[in-house]
Amino acid sequence: MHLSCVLGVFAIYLLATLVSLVRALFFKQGLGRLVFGILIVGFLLHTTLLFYYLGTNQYPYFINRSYGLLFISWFLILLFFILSKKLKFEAVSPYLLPIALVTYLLSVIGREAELSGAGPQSVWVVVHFVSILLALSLFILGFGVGLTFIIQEGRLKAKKPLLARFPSLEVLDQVRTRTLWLGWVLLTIGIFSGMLLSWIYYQTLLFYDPRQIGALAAWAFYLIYLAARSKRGWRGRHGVLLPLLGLLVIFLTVLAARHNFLT
Amino acid sequence: MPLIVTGLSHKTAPLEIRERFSAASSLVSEVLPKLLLDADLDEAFLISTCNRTELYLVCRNKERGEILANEFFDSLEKISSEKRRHLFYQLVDGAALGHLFRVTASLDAMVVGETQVTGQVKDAYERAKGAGTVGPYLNKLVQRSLEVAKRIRTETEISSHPVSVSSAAVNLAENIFGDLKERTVLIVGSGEMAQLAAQHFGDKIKSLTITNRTESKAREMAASFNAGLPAEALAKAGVLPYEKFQESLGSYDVIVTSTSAGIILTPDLVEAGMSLRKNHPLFLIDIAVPRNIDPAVNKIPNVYLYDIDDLQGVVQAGMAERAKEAKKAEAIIFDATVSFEKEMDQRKAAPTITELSRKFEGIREAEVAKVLRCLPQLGDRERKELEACTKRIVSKILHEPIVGLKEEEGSSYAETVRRLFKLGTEN
Repeated sequence: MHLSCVLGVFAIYLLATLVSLVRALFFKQGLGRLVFGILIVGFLLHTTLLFYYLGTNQYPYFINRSYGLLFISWFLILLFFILSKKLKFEAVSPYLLPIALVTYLLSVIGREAELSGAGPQSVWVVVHFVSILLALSLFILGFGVGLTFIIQEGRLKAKKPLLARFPSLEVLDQVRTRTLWLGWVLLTIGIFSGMLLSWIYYQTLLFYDPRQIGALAAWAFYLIYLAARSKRGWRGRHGVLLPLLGLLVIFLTVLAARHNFLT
Repeated sequence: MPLIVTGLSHKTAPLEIRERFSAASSLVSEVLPKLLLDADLDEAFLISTCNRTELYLVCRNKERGEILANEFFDSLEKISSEKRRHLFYQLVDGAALGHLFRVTASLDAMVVGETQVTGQVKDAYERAKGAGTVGPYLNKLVQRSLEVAKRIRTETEISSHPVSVSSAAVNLAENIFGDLKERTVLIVGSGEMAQLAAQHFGDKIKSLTITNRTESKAREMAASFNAGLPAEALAKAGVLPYEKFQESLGSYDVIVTSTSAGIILTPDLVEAGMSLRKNHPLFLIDIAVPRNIDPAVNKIPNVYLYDIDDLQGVVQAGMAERAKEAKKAEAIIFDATVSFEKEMDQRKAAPTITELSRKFEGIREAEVAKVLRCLPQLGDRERKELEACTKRIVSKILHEPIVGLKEEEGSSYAETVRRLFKLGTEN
């Protein structure tokens, strides 16, 4: 039953992704509702899986990277629903859905050893995990929206016909900026809660371990970008490189690195 | 009941002919009800716009309907039958249905995809309804045509692409800024193209400013623009002294240039303006020949420069897209026409189906009553079983005739059924 659910979610997300790609490539606007409908079914099943793991896993619940990635893919789909309904931004699906699908796939196939539960027993552990995961999801969304912006803006500059049914450049830019701001705030909370845990349990703020360094580097990249955007007007395609670096750093940090004190 | 449409449009008649047959809305309430006094006519509906005048008639006799339609147009302006053959078209039944769907969805319009005609059809329908000349058939038909038009607008991109230079400029501005309600526009120059651009931005924007080397011309243009605005509009046009416009670039989101002064905006000036704007996007529309804005300005980040050729390119691309979308729309209209005809045929069959069912039910009840009189000893269970059995027999016998009545086109099948089972006369 559990395996059927896991495979079912993957199959549904795969179908939705393929249909959204067909919709985008062949301008079949009528498929938008189909994508939405398929995703709702997948999302409900995915939510059921998440609750199942919350019920069966021990504290702190996201007991390894796989569950973290599962949560990220769930949140990305939720973000898609929000963007579709609030901003009529179904056109983000060809970017967002493949990322959500790959993240889900990684969560299924990339099993790693679970945390023993012998670590810190504090609510801050959950705060730390959830805020970092949410931040990463938002940065991924920001990347997708930024990519959409670059494509549309490039076509406008080159005097080519614009891709239909995309929000305006201004809306794309605003969504990206707000997403990055929110992601940065959540990353700050995640780093702060991690440092607090280090202090409470290990009497040091920093372990100089890969994840901490990676998270701080990403935090710095995003802060520089957001400040420069606010003060110096780093708008449009100029504001893409730093956030992209930040995303790569934090993505690799979550995927590849591991806290030293857990080994 | 045949549906006939008779009319002329921009495709068949030039303006000087069309305007003679243009029917004022008062005509609807005066003339159409008189048409319906004819016993062969059930419903009537008139569409009269600058590009077409069409009379839709639901009649019992096709030939009579054609005569009445011709008489109607003769009452507006008498022309020879030879001329009428060239200028007018007359379509019947499915072709008439499809035509109304195409007209309402703007596929037959001068500019395919323009949305005004849908509103005009709706207004014409309301007038006919007010005059009491619309009955159940036209009621259903016009509602369906409005639904089909809406479906085409939703499922295709037929109305999405601009078809004039000015609308292309507004469309591009919307692609950059989204809602233009908070945007400010500066028009440099006061020529005809500049005025068209100003009109197209109209009351969609927050403010419009006009500047010209001759300030009196700028004031004239602003006054003319303001006169055309609705009273509640916020975007009244103002005037900026020409000598201040280059230093004020940072204050405007959209700048339209249309002067004969040659290059008035260089990359340096625009970069200075962008610095004041903190790199908020700037849309420059250069509709002057020779150009007013150095093409190198387009390389500046967050600046989007379109000249007249670029806008024409957008328009041409838009027309080509609309033509592509029109094909998709035609497919939707074909399906809608077939579906509507089938629905009407089924409705026509409804009285026959009801009569047939009633007749057989009457026979069944009478025979069951006879059997029950002969067999009074039957218990409740047996009586119920007898009822159910006879109902099943009747249902099975009538299944094929009823399916045939629903699915067969035309009234000949229904007539045969009525004759076969000696039902009352067909309505």
